[in-house]
Amino acid sequence: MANSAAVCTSFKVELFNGIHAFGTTVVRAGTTKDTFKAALYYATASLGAATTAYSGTGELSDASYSAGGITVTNANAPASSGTTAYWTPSADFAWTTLTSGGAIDAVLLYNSTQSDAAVAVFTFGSQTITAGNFTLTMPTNDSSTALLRLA
Amino acid sequence: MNSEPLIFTSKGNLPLSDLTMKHYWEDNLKLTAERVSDQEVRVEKDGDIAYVEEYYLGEELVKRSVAVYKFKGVPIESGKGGFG
Repeated sequence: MANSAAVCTSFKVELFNGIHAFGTTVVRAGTTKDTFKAALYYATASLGAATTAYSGTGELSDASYSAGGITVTNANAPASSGTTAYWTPSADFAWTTLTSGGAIDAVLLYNSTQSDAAVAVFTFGSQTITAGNFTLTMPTNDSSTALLRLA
Repeated sequence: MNSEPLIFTSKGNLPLSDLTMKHYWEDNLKLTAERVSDQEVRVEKDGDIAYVEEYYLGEELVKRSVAVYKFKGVPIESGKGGFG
């Protein structure tokens, strides 16, 4: 037997479950699960790795759209396969009778329970919606394609 | 009673029979190839494909619905340090 340096796979799953708190003081309060939301943004917005929280700047703006986006359905527990932990929402992101009023190409996943903290930005081919339905179908929830993967 | 189907459009509810429907696929697929060995190349699929459904009143677009299928999410790369 020999030792090998690695970030433990269980740790990665536990991060998704909010188990570990590295702060030097108590930062997180409460033990109930968080609510995540998905908001749509115009192709002219500037979302990316530097995004720290939800903002209405650049977000789709129309009477048919509720600012802040939709609540994400979360019935998938974080899991792991090999050395990768992963998670995908259990339902597609869907809007009905939507008019985008411009081209949209990004959705921001954020934690509305934790001060709207940003999780990730997902982009797609630019689309314009007119009085129609807009659906973002989730990828397969596995270690290769899940919406969030921690390798 | 008038039972003609109506659908919601940018001009309110309109009879389906007054509209022309078009549908098509948009391919935003991205393929990357990586040579794994002399005999094997791994191809990874990313990006998305979209199904688009449009309704026209004459030449005017009055309804456009899109369903986007994204092949992959985003990876978070973990790493570890070491002792000096």
